[in-house]
Amino acid sequence: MSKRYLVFVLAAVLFPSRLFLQENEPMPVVQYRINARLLPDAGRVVGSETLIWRNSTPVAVDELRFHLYYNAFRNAQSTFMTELGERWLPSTRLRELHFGEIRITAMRVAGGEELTGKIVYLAPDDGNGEDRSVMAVRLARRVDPGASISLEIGFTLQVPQIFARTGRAKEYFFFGQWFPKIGVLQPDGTWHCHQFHAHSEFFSDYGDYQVSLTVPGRFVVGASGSLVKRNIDADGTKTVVFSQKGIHDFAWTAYPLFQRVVESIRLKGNNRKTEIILLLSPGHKSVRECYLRSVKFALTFLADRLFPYPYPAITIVDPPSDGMGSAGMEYPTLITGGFFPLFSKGLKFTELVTIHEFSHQYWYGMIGNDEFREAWLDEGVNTFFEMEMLDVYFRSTGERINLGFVDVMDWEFQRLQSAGLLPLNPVNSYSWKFVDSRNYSASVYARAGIFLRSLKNYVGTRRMTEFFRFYGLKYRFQHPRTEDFIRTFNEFMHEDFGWAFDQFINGEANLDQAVYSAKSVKISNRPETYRNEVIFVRREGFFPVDLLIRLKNGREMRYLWKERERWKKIVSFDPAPIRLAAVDPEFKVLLDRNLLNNSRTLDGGQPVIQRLSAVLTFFFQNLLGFLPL
Amino acid sequence: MKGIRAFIRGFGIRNVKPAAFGWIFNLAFALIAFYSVEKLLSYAFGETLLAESVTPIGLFTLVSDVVRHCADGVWVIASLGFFSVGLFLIVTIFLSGGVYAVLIFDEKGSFRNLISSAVENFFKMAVVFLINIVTWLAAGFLSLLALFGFLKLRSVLSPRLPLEPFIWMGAGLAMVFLLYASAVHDFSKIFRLREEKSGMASFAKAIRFVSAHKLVVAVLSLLYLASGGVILLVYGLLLGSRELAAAAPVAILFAVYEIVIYFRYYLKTVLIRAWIDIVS
Repeated sequence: MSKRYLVFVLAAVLFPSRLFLQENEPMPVVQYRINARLLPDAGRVVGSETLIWRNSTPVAVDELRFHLYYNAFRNAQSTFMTELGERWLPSTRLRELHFGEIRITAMRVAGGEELTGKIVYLAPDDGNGEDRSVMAVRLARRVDPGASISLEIGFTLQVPQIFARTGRAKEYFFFGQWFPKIGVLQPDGTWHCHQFHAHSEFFSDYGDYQVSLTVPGRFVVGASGSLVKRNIDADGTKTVVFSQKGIHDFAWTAYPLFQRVVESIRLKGNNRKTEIILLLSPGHKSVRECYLRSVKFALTFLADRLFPYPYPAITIVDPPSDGMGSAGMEYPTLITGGFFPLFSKGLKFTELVTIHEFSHQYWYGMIGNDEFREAWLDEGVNTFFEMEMLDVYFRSTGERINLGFVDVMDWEFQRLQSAGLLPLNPVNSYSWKFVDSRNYSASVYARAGIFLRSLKNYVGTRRMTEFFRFYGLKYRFQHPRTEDFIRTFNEFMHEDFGWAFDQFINGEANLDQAVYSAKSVKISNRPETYRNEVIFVRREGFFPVDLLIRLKNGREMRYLWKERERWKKIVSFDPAPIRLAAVDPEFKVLLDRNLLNNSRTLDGGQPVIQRLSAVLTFFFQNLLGFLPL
Repeated sequence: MKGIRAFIRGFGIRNVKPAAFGWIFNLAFALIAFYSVEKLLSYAFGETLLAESVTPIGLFTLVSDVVRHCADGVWVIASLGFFSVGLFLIVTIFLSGGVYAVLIFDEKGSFRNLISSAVENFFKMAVVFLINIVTWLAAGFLSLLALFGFLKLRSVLSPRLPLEPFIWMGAGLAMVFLLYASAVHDFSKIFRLREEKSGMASFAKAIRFVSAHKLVVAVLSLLYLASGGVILLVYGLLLGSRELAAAAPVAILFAVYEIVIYFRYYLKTVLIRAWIDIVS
C-alpha cells in the first residue's frame, strides 16, 4: 500500500468533512445567479442570469464562449438532431415535433459594455451553419489571469416537445442544459466549448449556483441543490430558490402531478443526514419503494467504496410515461429514473437506472472528466460500478433481471455488448466520432466497463476497490484525463498496465484466447505413462491469463500465462491422460469475446446440452400445441 | 350448470387415444427439434467445460455466445423451426379431421379410424381453417382496440390512476375475443362434419351458435383454461423450482414435459366433447 494512498484514506476516514472542505474545496470559477419564470400555457421560460466568471488560466482573453444547448432543439438540421439520425427520429415523427430554442434578449458586462449586438454563433466541431448551440462574444477589455468579469444575460426559452433529455409533455416540464452556460477556458487560452452532440453534453467548471424559479402555485418543483427559500406570490405563483456550491450544472423540473416523497439517510463519514427527495409521477406508487431502496443502497455502497456523498440532498425525478424522453439522465444532485409498467418488476429497470444514474454523481459529478473527449471515464467507470453494485444488490435481495426464460446478471448484458463490438475507434475517442450510437454505447459503456472488470479480476477485488477510492479522492472536484487515470493506476499497482490501456482503451483490440488442441498418447504401460500435449493460442489481443490442465486421475496443473506470445505448447509425461484443458477456467477475463473455445474436454459428459435441448424442445412443443386443433 | 355438466361428462378413458393421436405427431416434431438443437449445441460447445456446467458464465452468456459464434447453425435451426411450425399447422388441420370425426360420431378411437377420418376430412377442415382466418384477424383487431380503449379510458378518467389495471383489463378483454374466435373455429369444424354443410354455411352457423350460447361458451372456455392452469400448477410443483429442474435427470425432465403436453391435448378433446354435447 503506497504512502500517498495511506495518507488519503486516513484523512478520508478521520476528517471526511475537512478533506472535502479544505483539501478539495472546489475553487469556484463560475458563480451563477439565475431567475426563471415558467409560463406553462405558452410553453416558455423567461430568465435572467448574472454570471461571475474568473479567469483561472495564465492567459488573458478577450472572447467568451457559451453553450446555448437549448438551440439543439431549434430545427432538424442542428448537430444534435442530425447525429441522432433517421433511425432515432424518422421523418414522420420529425414533422410532428414542436421545436424549441433559447434566445438571448440582453447581454452586457455588469455596469458596462453592451454585448447583445456582438453575439456570433460558432460550430467548432463540424462547421454546421445551422447549429446555434455555441455562441461567442468579443469583449472590448481583456480579462486578465486571475481577474473576474460579471455578466448580465437575459434569455427566453421556447420549450420543445420532449423526446430526448429536455422539454415538455403536456404539463410535465424538464429542464436540462437550459441556461446560457460559459465554456471552459483551457490553460493554453483556448476555449473548450463544444457543440451539443447526440452522445455528449457535459464538461464545465465547478461553481456556485443560486437559482430562483417562479411557477404557477399548483406546480411541484424539483431542482439541483437544496431548497433555501419558498415564497407564495400575490399573483398565485410561487417562487422557490435552490442553491448549491461545488457543482458544474443545474437542472430542474416542474409538474403539478408529482407526489413529493422525502426521506433521509445518515451515511458513514458524514456528520449530517442526506435528504432523498423523490418526485413520483401519478400511477407509479408501485415503484416508490424501489426508487428509495435503490438510491439508499447506492448512497451506502459508494460511501463505503469511495467517500460519502457530500451534498445535503439528492433529488430523483420519476418522469410520467409521456415524458420518458427525459428518463435515465444525470445532473448534479438530481437524477431522472424511469418506469415501464408491467415489465418493470422483471427487468428491474427502475433499480438499474436509479443505481446507474446515482453513481454518476461520482463519475461525472464529483470526478468531472471531459465527456466530449473521454466519455469512458464517466460512462465506462460508471458501468463498472453499476455491475459491482448490482452484483451486491442482487445477492442481497436474491433477485435477478428476469427475461422470462432466463435470469440475467447486469454484467452479462454488458459483456454481451462488449463481445459483439466491432472496434472501429479506440474507446477513448471523441463521442461524435463513433460510427453510430450502438458502437458508441458498446465501446464507451460496455467495453470500458468490462475491461475494468477484467482488470479487477486480474489485480483482485480489494486492490481495485482501494485504487478507485484513491483515484476518487485524488481527483475529487477536478477534471482528470485518461493519462491521469492510467498513471494513477500504474503507480498504485506498482506495475505498468500500458499493455492493457494501449489495447483496449487507447487502441482498437479485441480479445480471444483459446485452447487450440489437447491430446494424450499412451507411451508406456509399466508404469502407465502418457504424453500429454496442450496448445493454447491467442487468436486476438493479449491479456495475462490462467491456464489449467486437469488429468483423469484428478491431478491439476496451473500456469499464469503472462508472456506476450501468440501460442504456448505445454508437453508433459504423466501417469494419466488429460481430461480437461482450459484457458481462463474461471472466466475472469470477460473481455474474451468467445468463451466457447476456452476449454477442451477429452471425455466429458454433456448434461448441459441435453438439458438445454430438452427445455427448448418443450418450448417448441408448447408452441405447436397452440395451433388450433 | 349445463356447461359445467358438459365439461365434466367430457372426461373419460375414451379421450385417451384421440388425445394421443395429437400428442404423438407433436412428439414426432419435437424429436426432430431435439435432435437438431442437440447437434447444434454439441457442435458449438460439446467438448468444453460448458457442456458440463454452465454456472461460471450463466445461461444467458452461453446462449449469446452460441448465437454469435454459430450464427449459421442457429439460422438453420430457426428456419427449420419456422418451417416446422408451418408444416405442423397443416398436420394439425389433418389431425383435427380425425379427432373431430371420431368424437362427433362416437366412433372407436383407434388410430386406424383416426387416420382414415383425418384423410377423408382433410380438405373440409382446410377450408374451414381458411375461412376462420377472418375470425382470428377480427379477434386480433378487436383485442388491440380493447387495449388502446382501456388506455384511453385511463387518460380520460385521470392520469393519476395506475396504468397496470387498465392494461390487464384490456388484456382480459382481448383474451375473451380470442376465446370466442377459438370457439367459432371449433364449432365451424363440428357443423362442417356433423351436418355436411358447406364451409361457409358451417362458419355462419357457428357464429350464430356462439352468439346464442355466449354464457355456456364462456363457462366452458374458462373451465378449459382453468384445467390447463391446474396442469401448469402440478408441473410447477414437480419442476417449477429451478433447483429441482436442474437436479432432475434429463429422462425424467423429458417425461414430465411429455405428460404436460399430452394433457394439453387431452383437455382439448374434453373441450371438443363438451362442445359436441351442447350442440346435441
